[in-house]
Amino acid sequence: MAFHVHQPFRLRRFSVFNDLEKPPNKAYFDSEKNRAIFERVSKKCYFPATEIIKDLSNNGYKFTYSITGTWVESAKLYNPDVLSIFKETFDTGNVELLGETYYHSLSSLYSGLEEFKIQVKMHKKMARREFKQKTKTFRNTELIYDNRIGTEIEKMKFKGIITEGVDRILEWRSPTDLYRRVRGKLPIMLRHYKLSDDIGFRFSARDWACWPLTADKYADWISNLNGQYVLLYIDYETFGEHQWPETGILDFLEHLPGELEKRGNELVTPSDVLKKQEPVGEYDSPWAISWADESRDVSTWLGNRLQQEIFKRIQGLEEVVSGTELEDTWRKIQTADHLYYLSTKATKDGVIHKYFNPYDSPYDAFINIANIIEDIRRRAEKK
Amino acid sequence: MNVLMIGWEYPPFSIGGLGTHCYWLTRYLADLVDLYFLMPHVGRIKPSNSKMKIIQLPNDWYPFYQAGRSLFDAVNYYNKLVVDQSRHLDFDLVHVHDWIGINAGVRIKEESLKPLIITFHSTEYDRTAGHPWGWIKDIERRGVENADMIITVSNLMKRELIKIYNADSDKIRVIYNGIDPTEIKPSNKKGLFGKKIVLYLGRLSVQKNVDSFLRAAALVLKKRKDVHFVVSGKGPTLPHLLELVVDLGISKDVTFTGYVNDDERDWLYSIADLYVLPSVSEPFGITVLEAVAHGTPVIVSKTVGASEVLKDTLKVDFWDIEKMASYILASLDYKVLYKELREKGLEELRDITWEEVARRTYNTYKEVLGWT
Repeated sequence: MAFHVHQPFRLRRFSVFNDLEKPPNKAYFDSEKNRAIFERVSKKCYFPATEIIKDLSNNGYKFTYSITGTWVESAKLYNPDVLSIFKETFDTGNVELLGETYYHSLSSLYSGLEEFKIQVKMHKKMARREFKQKTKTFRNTELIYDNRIGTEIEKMKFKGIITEGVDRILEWRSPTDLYRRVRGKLPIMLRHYKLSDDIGFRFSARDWACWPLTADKYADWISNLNGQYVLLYIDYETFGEHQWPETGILDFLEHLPGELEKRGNELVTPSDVLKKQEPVGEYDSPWAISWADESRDVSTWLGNRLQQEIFKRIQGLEEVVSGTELEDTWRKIQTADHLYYLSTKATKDGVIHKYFNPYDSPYDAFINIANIIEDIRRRAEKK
Repeated sequence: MNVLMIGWEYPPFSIGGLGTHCYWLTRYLADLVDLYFLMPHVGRIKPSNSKMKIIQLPNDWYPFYQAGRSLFDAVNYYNKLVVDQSRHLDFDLVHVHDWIGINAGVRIKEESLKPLIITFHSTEYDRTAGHPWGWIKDIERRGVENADMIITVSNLMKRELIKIYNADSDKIRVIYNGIDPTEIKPSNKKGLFGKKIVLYLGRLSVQKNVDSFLRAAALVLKKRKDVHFVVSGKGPTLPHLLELVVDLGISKDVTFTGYVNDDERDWLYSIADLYVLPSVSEPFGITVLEAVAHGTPVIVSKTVGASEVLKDTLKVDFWDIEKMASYILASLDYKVLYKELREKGLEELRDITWEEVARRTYNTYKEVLGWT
C-alpha cells in the first residue's frame, strides 16, 4: 500500500496593479490559505491516518509513502508536529519512501531533462535529511511515465519505477506483474487502478453496487487475484479528508492489513517486490501516461491551449531566474497543481476538477498565474 | 394555433433588448403559429416574417413625452386600444412582453377566458436600479399573479420574480435570448489608429454601471497607453460620466459616440477588441451575444443573465474594478487567452439561436393549452 502525500504552495490573487499599492505587496503565495488548508488536512487526515499507519507498522505491517518537498516545507511552516509523527513512522523501519521530484513538477516533460534531474536529486537529499531514508524506487509526479523517463531513471540508478497500469498498454496482461522498460533493465511496477480507485473515489458512493465497502470484502477481492503483487496507490487525503471519518474510512484503513494477513497475504514495500520478483515482459509507453482522469494521460495538465501556453512560459523563465534568489519561487510555480486549475475538461472528471479548484474559471486561473510569471520575469530581468 | 401578441417596441423603433427579442422571436414563431402582433403606430415597420399580421394601433399620444402627457396616460390609452382590438380577433392565447401590455393582457384573459403568458425581459427594479415606480411595480405584480405561465430570459430574472413578486417557480419557464446565424460575422481585429479598442455599448443609466467601466479604464491606462475606450449609447447618466472622465484624467482616451444606429453599432462591434458589460443588474444583455458574434470577447459582471449561456466568458463582480481592469489587460496582453475566449465564445453561440427560442416558446404555448 502506497500513499501520496502532497501540498502545493497555492498562489495568491496576484494583482497586476500591486506596484501601485503602498506598500507594494510582492508575495506570490497565499500563506493564509496554505496554512488554513494544511491545518484542516492535518486535523482530518495527517494526524489520525498517520497514527494508524504508525501503530500498524510497529506491528510489522509494511507501507510506502511518497512525500513531496513542497509538502515537507509546508509542514515545517505550518505544523511541524505533523512532520514529527511521519518521522516516527519511518523510524519503525517498516516504511519505504519513494523518490520523486521535489516540487511535484512536470519537469519530466520538458524538452531537456536537466531540470528534472536537479529536482529528483533535491528530493533525494531531502529524504535523507528529514526522514533518514535512501530512496530506491522512483515514482514520478502523478505517476507520469514514458520510455524517455524510464531511460533517465535507470541512468539515475533507481531500482525500479512505479506508474499506472494502463489498459491500452497492458492489453490482455495483468497489472499485478512486474514489467521492464523497453530495451532496458529498469523494472516497472504498476498501480492497480481499479482497486485503488475503489478506495479513493468510490468508498462512500452509495450508488455503487459494492457499497458499503468493508475491509473483509476488499481483502477477499485481493486474495482472489493472481500475480506477483498488488499495488494500491492512493491519495493520502482520501483517509479523513476526501472521504470523511463518518464514512468509516479510517476504520477500514486500520482493519485492512489484518484482514489481508488472515487470508495469507503479506504487506510489502516496492523494494521487497523488486528484490524477489523478475519482470515478465516489456511495458512500452512512447507517449506519456499518468494516473489522472479516465484518459490516464497528461491532458489533465496540458490538454488545452491555455495550459500549454503556461507550461511554455514557465519553462521560458529558466534562463532569467537560474542562479537568482527567484529560482526557488520559479520551481514552486512548476508544481503540477497550478496547471491542473486551468483544465477545461467538461466531462465526468470535470466535476472532480471543480472540487479541487480555488479559481472562478480556468481563465481566471490562467490570468492569475500568467500575471505572476510576467512579474517574476520582470523582477529577474531587473537584476 | 392562433396567438395574440402584445408588443410595444419593434425595430427600427426600439431602444433595448425587448425590440430585438420581438423581431427575432416573431421571425421564427410565425412559421409555427398564426400570429397577430399588436403595437403602437409609431411609423412604418418591416415585419421579420411575412406570415405574421402586424396591427399597429393609432396612438397619437406616442411618443408620449412629446405630447406633454404622462407615461401613465399613454400606457393606459394603449392598453384600452389593445383590448378593443382583441374583441375583433380570434386567438387561443394572449402573450404579453413586459409590463406595458399587462393590464390589457389581464383584461383580455378575463373577457376571452384564454390563457395569458407574460415574458419578463426585465422588472421595474432592474430598470431603476432599485427605485421602482409604485404603479409600474403594481402592474408587474398583477401580471405575475394573473399569468398562466411566465417566461423569463434568464435564471437571474426568474429568481428575481420569485423574490420580489413571490412568483410560483412552477409557473416559470426560462428561455434565453438567442442570436441569428446570419448575425455571426467575426471580424479580424486590427485595432484603430494603432490602438486597442475596448467598448461599452448600451444605455447610460445607473443600472448599467458605466462608472466602473471608466474607473477600470483609468487603471488599465496606467499599465498600457495603447488602449482606447469607447462608450456608446445615450441616457441620463451621460453628464455624470463626462465629468468622471475629466476627473480621472482620461478624457483623451475615451470617446462618447452618443446613440448609434444598427450599422454604426455593428461597425463598433467589429472594430472592438473587447466588449465590457458591467451592469449591476441585467436580466439578459443581448449586446453580449452581439459582441461575441462579431468575434469580440466579452467581460461581464456576474449579474448579467447572458453569462448563464456563455459559460466560457470572463466574469467579475460588478463592483470589482481592479479585477475588471486586470481582465481587460490580460485579454489584451495574452494572445493565447484572447484566441481561446474568442473561439470558445463563437462556439457557444452556435447552440443559442432565435429559432430555438421560438421553438421553446411554442412548446410553452402547447404546454399551457394542454396540447402536449
